[in-house]
Amino acid sequence: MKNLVLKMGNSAALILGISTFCFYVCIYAQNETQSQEINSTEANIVCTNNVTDDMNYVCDLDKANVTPSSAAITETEDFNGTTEIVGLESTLSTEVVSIANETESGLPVTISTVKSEIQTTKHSETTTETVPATTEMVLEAQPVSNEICACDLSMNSCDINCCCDGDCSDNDRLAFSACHTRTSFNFDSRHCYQTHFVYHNNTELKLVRNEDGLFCIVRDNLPERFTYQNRKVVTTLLEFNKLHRNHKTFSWPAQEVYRPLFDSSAPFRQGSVIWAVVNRTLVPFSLPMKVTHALCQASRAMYYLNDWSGTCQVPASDVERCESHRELSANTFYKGFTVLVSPQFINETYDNRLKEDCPADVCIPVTVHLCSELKSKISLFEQCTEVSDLQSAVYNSALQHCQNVVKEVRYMIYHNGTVGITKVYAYVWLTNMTLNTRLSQKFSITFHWAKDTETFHRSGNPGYIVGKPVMSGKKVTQIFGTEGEIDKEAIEIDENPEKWLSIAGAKNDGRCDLEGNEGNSLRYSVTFGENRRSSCMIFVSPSNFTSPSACAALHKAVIQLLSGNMVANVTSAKEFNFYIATFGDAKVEDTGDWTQVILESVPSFLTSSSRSDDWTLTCKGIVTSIHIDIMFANVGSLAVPQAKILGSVFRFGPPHDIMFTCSSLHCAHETDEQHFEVVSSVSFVDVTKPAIVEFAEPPVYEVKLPHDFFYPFFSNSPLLRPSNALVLVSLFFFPSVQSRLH
Amino acid sequence: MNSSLIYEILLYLNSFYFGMFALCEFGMGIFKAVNLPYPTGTVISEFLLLLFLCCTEFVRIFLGRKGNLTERGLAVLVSIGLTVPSIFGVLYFLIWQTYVLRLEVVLCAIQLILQGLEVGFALLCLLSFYKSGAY
Repeated sequence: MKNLVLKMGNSAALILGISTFCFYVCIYAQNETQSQEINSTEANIVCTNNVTDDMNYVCDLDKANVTPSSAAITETEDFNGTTEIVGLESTLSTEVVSIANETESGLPVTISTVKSEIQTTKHSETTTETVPATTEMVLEAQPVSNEICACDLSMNSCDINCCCDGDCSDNDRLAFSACHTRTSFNFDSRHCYQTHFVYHNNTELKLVRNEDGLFCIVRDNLPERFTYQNRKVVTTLLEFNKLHRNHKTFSWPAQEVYRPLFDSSAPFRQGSVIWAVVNRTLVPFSLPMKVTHALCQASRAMYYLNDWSGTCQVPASDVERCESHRELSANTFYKGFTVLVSPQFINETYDNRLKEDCPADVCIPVTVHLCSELKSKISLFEQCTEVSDLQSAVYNSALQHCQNVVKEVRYMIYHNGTVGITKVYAYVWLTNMTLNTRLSQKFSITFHWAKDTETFHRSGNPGYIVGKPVMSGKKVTQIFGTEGEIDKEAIEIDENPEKWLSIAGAKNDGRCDLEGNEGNSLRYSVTFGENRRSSCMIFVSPSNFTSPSACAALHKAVIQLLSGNMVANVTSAKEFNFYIATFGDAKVEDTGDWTQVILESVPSFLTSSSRSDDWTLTCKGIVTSIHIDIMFANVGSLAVPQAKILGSVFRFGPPHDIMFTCSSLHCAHETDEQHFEVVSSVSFVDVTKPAIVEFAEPPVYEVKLPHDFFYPFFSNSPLLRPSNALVLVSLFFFPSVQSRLH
Repeated sequence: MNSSLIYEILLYLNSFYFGMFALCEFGMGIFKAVNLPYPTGTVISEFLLLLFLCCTEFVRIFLGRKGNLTERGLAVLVSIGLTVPSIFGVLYFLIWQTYVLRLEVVLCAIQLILQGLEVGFALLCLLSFYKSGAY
């Protein structure tokens, strides 16, 4: 027995020895792993623990909320306290909320007051007492990230709204309106205590809320997970390259100057360069374009079958430049070169120059058309006439402007696929410009099949495509037949997509284009799926306020501008004859494909009054804004969603009073101009319903009984025939027979 | 008859309590390892520490009960000695481990109270053994 006890004692001692060894190994391993990270905040934990008991005071949140006074600041300058706030309203309900300044997040390191220094030493002292294992780490125990005062940018001076700046005194802080977003505290919802800012104030108050739950983290001994790992400074190239190699880097691609190469063997297809022949030399056919600013700086090679359009500005600074600048003169765009039909027609190897003149069927000249002003009602071909030659830009000394400068050039290239270009048309618009101004030029190139007559561009097939114009039109009723019995409805739409649903735009100087009549005004197309807001200024002078009728005219002009002449003679919302296509491929004959635009309210000028006292002139009740809401939903298969417009509403904004404040007595200056803003906006609302699985309903079985089923014994009943009677009897009396009958 | 009934009751209770404690710690260890980031190796060392604690506690309770029932002072003494690493192990889970959950605070506190009481009664028991000269 004694032996056994001895043995047991031995073994116990052995176990004790092993286990203590194990324990210290584990502790050591733990310390090792923790000291791999740079910081350890043992100090913090101990400090807060020790100090929390010392100072407990209750502070009223309301008081702290309203007046961030100096009293509040001094109260919280004792950072080591845990402040309990009881009875907090709103978001935190009646929970007991405590405000604490944990040393890890509350103490700016840069504070140079004696107080904080004392606190720091206190921390280290307490640490050395309680955790001997980490004594040597105490000095670097404070995590870096929480002590940065990022807004303290000026040394020895108080930064405005920088609450952690040590240079600011309490009095200085009173001048702050808010605190700059300080380094955000580490947030993890799994912590038992979550800290929230009470409000941005000059104090260091923070809100801590108790979270319930057994699995919340009471103590986090790994605050390093909220700090970045420190990396050593690189001193040698070898180290640098090693680091560089291990991480993703972005390098700029080597820039190669792209020069289109002539290759007669390559097929002439989309994306091939179009070649022009100038004096037997082959050059890419190119148009001016802007690169870094609005001026026409560069030229862009045109590619086969790629439509392109661009605008850029040309300055005319002096007389000489007016006449010599290439881009101003129309000759540049059609004269002096021919367009190569297809590179395949030139067999010889290209060495910059052709050996002989280009034959007429291989190099075709540009047919030029001179166009008058753009008008919507007539098509492009009607306003342009073919001419053999155009005047070049000339300076007119009498009128002091540059005449016949190019405003717009549209190339229309007809082609036959790989066979090549068949015809090149240039439509040129000319204008006059005054010297020392800039002219905005527009160039475009479009390709058309030679066999095409007139193409109409859909906005999608069938669903709308984002970026394509929203189709709109008016409903017309045509009456056929002698007595008008067959009336056919259709939608009338403009061929030019720019004349569809649009919103008012501003001219170069920000003014609204009020003078533009019948679609000639400057407007932006409403494109599907793109929310847009545009505004322009309407300038008013005292003459606009002379009488109620003048105000009404102003009102009418604004409404016209906003709605694009659509709401001109509409008196009720039902009368509004304006339709939007539900699908991008809606047919004009099919009125079911179109949806009427709903007018929220008809803007009427009821309070037609102009009031003028000595200093202000007023027009009351002028509508100055419109908002177009378009609702759409995707329909069809999820793989190929088709956007369908479900409806749209024109909403006119609330009427405003337009005031003209006179600068001098009785508004003497008739030429005085003041302005107000007119806003149009469009927004698209996606109301797509999520896909739902729908099953077919189970089929309904219609049980049909003979019509005399319930009256089988009437004389004319077919059931009464002997054979049937027999069956009936057998059914009733011999159920076994029934089964056999089946 | 010098065996202490209260000491026996405490040890018996503790044997079941520690089983539950170890299971809970193990479960929470997995929970934390899955949910929270750990420095490399810490999880393993914490689990090893739990294993070590289990061993110590098993031996401690076994020897304590055996010594108490057979009135052997040496076993009780060893049991008291083993209380030291055991308490440190529990303290580790209460204070020094990477993340301390609230449930762990509760469980560790109860375990510590039990261990403290056991030490007290073990000493009383030892005293009575020595008095009666049973050692």
